[in-house]
Amino acid sequence: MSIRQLGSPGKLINAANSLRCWEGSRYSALRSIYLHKGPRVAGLKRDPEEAFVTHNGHKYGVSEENLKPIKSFLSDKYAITDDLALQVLTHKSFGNGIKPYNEKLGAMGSKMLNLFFAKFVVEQPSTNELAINGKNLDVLGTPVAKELAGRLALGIFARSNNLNSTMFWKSYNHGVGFETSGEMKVSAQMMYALVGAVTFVHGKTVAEEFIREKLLGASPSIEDITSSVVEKAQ
Amino acid sequence: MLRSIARLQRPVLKACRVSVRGYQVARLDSSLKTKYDSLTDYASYRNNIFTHRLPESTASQSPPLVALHSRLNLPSSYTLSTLSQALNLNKFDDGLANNFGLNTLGKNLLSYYVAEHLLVKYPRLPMPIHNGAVDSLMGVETLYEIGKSWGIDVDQSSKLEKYLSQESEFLKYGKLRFVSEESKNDVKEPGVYELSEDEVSSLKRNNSFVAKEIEAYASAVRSIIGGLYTHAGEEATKAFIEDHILSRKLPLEQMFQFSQPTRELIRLCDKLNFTEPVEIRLIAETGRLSAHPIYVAGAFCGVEKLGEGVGSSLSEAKTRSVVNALMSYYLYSPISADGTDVKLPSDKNYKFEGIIGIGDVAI
Repeated sequence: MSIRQLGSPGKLINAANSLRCWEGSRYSALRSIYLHKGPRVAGLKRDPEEAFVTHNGHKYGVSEENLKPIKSFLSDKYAITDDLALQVLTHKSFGNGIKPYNEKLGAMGSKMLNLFFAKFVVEQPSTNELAINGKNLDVLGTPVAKELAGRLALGIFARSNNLNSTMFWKSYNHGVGFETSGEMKVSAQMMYALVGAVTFVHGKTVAEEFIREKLLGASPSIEDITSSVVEKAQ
Repeated sequence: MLRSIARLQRPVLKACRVSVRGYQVARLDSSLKTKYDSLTDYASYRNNIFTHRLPESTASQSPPLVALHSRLNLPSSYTLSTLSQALNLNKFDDGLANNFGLNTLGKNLLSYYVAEHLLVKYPRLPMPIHNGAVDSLMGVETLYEIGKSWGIDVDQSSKLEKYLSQESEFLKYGKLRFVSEESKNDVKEPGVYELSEDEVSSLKRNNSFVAKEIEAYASAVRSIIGGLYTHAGEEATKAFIEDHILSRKLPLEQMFQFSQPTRELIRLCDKLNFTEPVEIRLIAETGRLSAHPIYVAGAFCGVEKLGEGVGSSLSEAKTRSVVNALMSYYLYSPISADGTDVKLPSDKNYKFEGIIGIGDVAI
């Protein structure tokens, strides 16, 4: 491929126009681009008005309606910016990943939660003679210790606190159940991202307070959900 | 009528369920004979397979253990018995507690601090590179190398050999113990490595082979880090991880491989809402009829130059400029307002100054 081919002005003007169209105006001064509505047709650019809408009709963007559940859950103490809150709610599957999504936030949050719960379960004073410096490590690796930061418990927690009512994601089939459609996984990812966002914005110490106050202090708490999940499985 | 419709619909739903694997809740490892009062009474958990920990008086008589403690410059609060436990992987070793819990704790600590380091220092790394970087910092092979460099030895001699060579019984408490007594007695052929059952099953499962010794060294390193947390707290553990793990040089720029760089750059600019088109422009050339022409191409977005590349053909210069633009985006590392490195969330007086990755682009 030569430079001329790659930098062919036709293609690039197209790209520029399409971007201008996305920004608001339907038609640009140079060239009009047809934005397709209705079922997907290969090669046709979809109208963003229609493409960036969830299966249950929520329109992508910073709006009171979209961010209300997550913002009221965070309260002022753990507040994050609106753009970041929108990123927390956006999964990689939405709009082919063209909008900022929560993968990196989730990576931070999952490690944060795993570490927090590992410390949380060993911190209770124990009489176990195998405990090291008063920390009972025998609990680590047990189902309850593992599932506290597990996807199932967090997915159910997000649902019970109505945090996953607005999430920007796409399932292969939204009609099937909570677990089968992938909603559980995406909700859990959103919870990881939420913890990750608090960690990024406020630091690790505040994030630990957040988990203690909002996840362990909720009703039902993440602990209650985890024990019911583990009991059911055994 | 209604009933018959319901009957018709059911198999369709059932078929969907079968195609997706459900969530597997963790199960209790019955071999540890764990007993507890209630699920959330974490203090009551007890692995009854183990009866005791190594007494400190015994551990202090083991020269390799004392040497390892000093070599790693561990604080005096870090007991030798914990260090010895970190080196014990045997489940059935006369009831002596093994390093399972320490390993788990160490793994969680390592995972967090490594992830935090990479996510803050290199917020735009694509996820496969990020995962590769995590693996090269705390993967089993790396931890094995670290464990070796710490001078940890493997306890390979059987009880009989120890008796015949009049080896002190305390010596083994400072060595890595993962070989069972039975396999120590196995006749070994020099140059032939016989796979254990676990190794064969892992080979079948994911077609990768990690020798038991490599895994054991990695486990010991993680456990030593876990032990440091139990005795010296998180600050000391963080400092230890920074000194031993995060200080290692990571050649991130060598980890990239682009299959369609130009397409990726255009898509990336689209994601970043750049209004101007991406263009590759020829900046300079030595002359096309010269013996060895050299071209300098630049990847531009409007008037902004994103990257530059030099090549002996137009195509090479173009690809290099695009790759250069992508690399300078992905390898961006933020700095704070006063010109120093940005603070990590676990640092004191943390203030968020960096950026958060917005995710990779699909090509």
